[in-house]
Amino acid sequence: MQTSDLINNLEHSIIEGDVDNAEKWALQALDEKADIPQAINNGLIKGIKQVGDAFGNGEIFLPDLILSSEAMKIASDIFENELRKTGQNIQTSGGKIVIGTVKGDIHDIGKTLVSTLFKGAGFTVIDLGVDVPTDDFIAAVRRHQPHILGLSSLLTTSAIEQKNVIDALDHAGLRSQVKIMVGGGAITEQWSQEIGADAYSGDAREAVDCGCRLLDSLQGEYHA
Amino acid sequence: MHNKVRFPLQVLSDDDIKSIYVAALEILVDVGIQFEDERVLHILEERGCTVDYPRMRVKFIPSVIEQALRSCPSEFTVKARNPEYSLLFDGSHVYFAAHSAPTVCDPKTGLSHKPSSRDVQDRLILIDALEHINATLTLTGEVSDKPPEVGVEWVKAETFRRTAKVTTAPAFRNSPKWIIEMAAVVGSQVIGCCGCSPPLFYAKQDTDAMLQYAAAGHPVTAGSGIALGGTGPVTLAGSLAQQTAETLAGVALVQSCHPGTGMLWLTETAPMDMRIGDLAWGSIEVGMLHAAQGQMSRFLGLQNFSLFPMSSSHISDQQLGFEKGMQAIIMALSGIQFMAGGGGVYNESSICLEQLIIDNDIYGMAARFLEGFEVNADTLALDIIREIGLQRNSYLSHKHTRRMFKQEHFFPGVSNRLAFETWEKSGSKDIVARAQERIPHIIQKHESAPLSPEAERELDTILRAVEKERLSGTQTEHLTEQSTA
Ligand code: B12
Repeated sequence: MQTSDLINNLEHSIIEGDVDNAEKWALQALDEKADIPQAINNGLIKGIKQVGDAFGNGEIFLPDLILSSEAMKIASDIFENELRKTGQNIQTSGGKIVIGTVKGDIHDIGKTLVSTLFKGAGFTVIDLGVDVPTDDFIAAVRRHQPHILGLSSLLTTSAIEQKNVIDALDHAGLRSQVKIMVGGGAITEQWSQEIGADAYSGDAREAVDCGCRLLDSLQGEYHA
Repeated sequence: MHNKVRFPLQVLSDDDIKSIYVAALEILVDVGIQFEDERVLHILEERGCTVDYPRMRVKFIPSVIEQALRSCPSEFTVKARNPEYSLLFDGSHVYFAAHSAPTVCDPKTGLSHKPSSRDVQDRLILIDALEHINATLTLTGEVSDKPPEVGVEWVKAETFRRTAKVTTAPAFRNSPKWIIEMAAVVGSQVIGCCGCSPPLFYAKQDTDAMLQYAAAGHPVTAGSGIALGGTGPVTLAGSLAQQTAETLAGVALVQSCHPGTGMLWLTETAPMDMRIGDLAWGSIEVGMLHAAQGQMSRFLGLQNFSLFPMSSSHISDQQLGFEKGMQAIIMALSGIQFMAGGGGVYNESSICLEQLIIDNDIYGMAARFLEGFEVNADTLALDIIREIGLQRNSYLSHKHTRRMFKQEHFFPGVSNRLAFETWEKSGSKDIVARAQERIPHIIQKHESAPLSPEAERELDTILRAVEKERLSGTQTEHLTEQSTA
């Protein structure tokens, strides 16, 4: 098969959210020794961008978006593994985020939506779940070295846990390594500033835009 | 008063009802329910259920569920401070309640703030005064000028002070202990508002509360709020099966420990809007699910309880009005016995007092519908029709009209029925503006039945004990001053 056809097929499997085909075309790309960075950029990333835009415009729905990001994940894992073998390191994902709902709070829906949309935007997401103790957030930051830590809280009583996590990161000397985003029904912009978070967002889509901006600023810092 | 209209709305066939019940049993038997509290695992193991301790999972046996259903009373009363306001759950009454949320908002801008103690009191006075509000929810206790640690109990004490109507009580920290004491002081029962956190998980906070309220002789809810496509299947039937299983698990737990406790199947279920991922509490599917819940709960012999009618709109606009209005009438006709959306906006994120006034009208209309109308010699009015015959415009001056109009027609409090010119001259106000005007009027005029001085003192003593338990010594003194001031 011609490389351009293969890349087209890959792009389509992402747009369609067809996990099986995404895997199939990615493996075939390896078999045929196609140019992998090209397959990633012109196939996967082009596809997922289109999906993201369509979701933003209300043309497709959440379940479509989720399946597209799963298709994206499976194909990009295949490519990244292959590249690693040959000592290359291309990141298909924009960045890495660790996210969870704070201790004492089991509200799941908003936090999971935020994770999902981050995945859809090409982030690697480590979702710690709900009712997450402060220590687990610290351990996850240490272990995964994410660009962003997301803290969700829906209860006025659990909001304070966001501050506890930020303070604990400070104590552990990890605060400067990670950007902190907070959100959830109980959280306001003002609260976010009071506790020294880097960003607040009241909506999942806005959260992703904001995450991308934070990532850009980080990459700016690294290059500087 | 008994309703004449029997709940005719049916969205499920008899076979559908059985299929959902069988599916729920299969969920309970094959998948099981996770309970966070080890004590609960032991209780259910003793009943013969299989327990996987490391995963905190209970797989039920059908006989435990069936026996629990048999031990639920087919009717019970929730005693209010004023017995006239007591609620009878026997399948033939529908009650309307005010909602609760951590903020109050402006009806036109949707901007919200944490309530002050004055806001809390105003809301309670309105609830006590409004004729179609039978009860109130308390889910949380936010008060800007009280310490957050004692907010729930402070709000609860105010509730007992300012209204003699029934109130629900939350599963929040160890607040059940204190609320039970307060209820005893004022001589009323509460409805313990507890449930499952879907999918298939009961938090310790909720099972603790269920068992505490039941032990003290209060009825409790079991049930859940599923986000269709988020925390349960996206299909209506699938979510009903899951919710039935979650409800039955709670019923089984409570009835195992306190047989005979009055139980209400709680629902908070709504679709997730797949265009954005937020909840669609004002959707028509919510109405359909309530009709199904009405049928399912009658089949199982359970009373029911709902946090709707609700809407996703942030302001008191047409959307809020029609979504809540449609749901209210559907729910009333479905035999939902307790509907608690009054004053709630944006998927119960906030409370709007103007909306509470408007919802009072919606509730009044739904209640009027359920009352139905009598067909007898007097109401058929044949004699009068014979008498007046073909004369024009004579009915208005007939005694029959004056004698009957109040019983036959409902009068909304804030809906507009004025002639255009009159309406224009009075300022062209919309319903929200009229509701806004009514609020200070009611608050100034209404007098809540006071508690006895002893009851007041005992409530204060309880609040002081809460403060002592939750706050350190220095703060406590300061607070006691505040609360007695
Ligand atoms: C569904 C729900 C539940 C479900 C949760 C099921 C589950 N598995 O998640 C159940 C029934 C279990 C539940 C339980 C309780 N709940 Co509840 N619940 C809700 C409800 C109705 C909706 C929450 C929701 O999912 N919204 C939809 C999502 C999409 O919105 P969201 O979470 O706000 O997320 C969006 C943004 O905030 C943002 N976001 C979210 N997280 C993050 C994170 C980051 C990093 C960023 C950037 C952005 C972001 O993006 C999301 C998408 O746009 C709210 C009312 C409401 N409308 O908010 C009450 C509400 C939050 N619950 C409340 C209460 C009181 C409780 C209970 C204490 C009740 C009880 N037992 O007495 C328990 C608490 C249990 C616990 N320990 O946590 C109160 C909280 C009040 C307060 N004081 O803060 C509310 C406001 C209801 C009310 N009117 O009182 N609840």
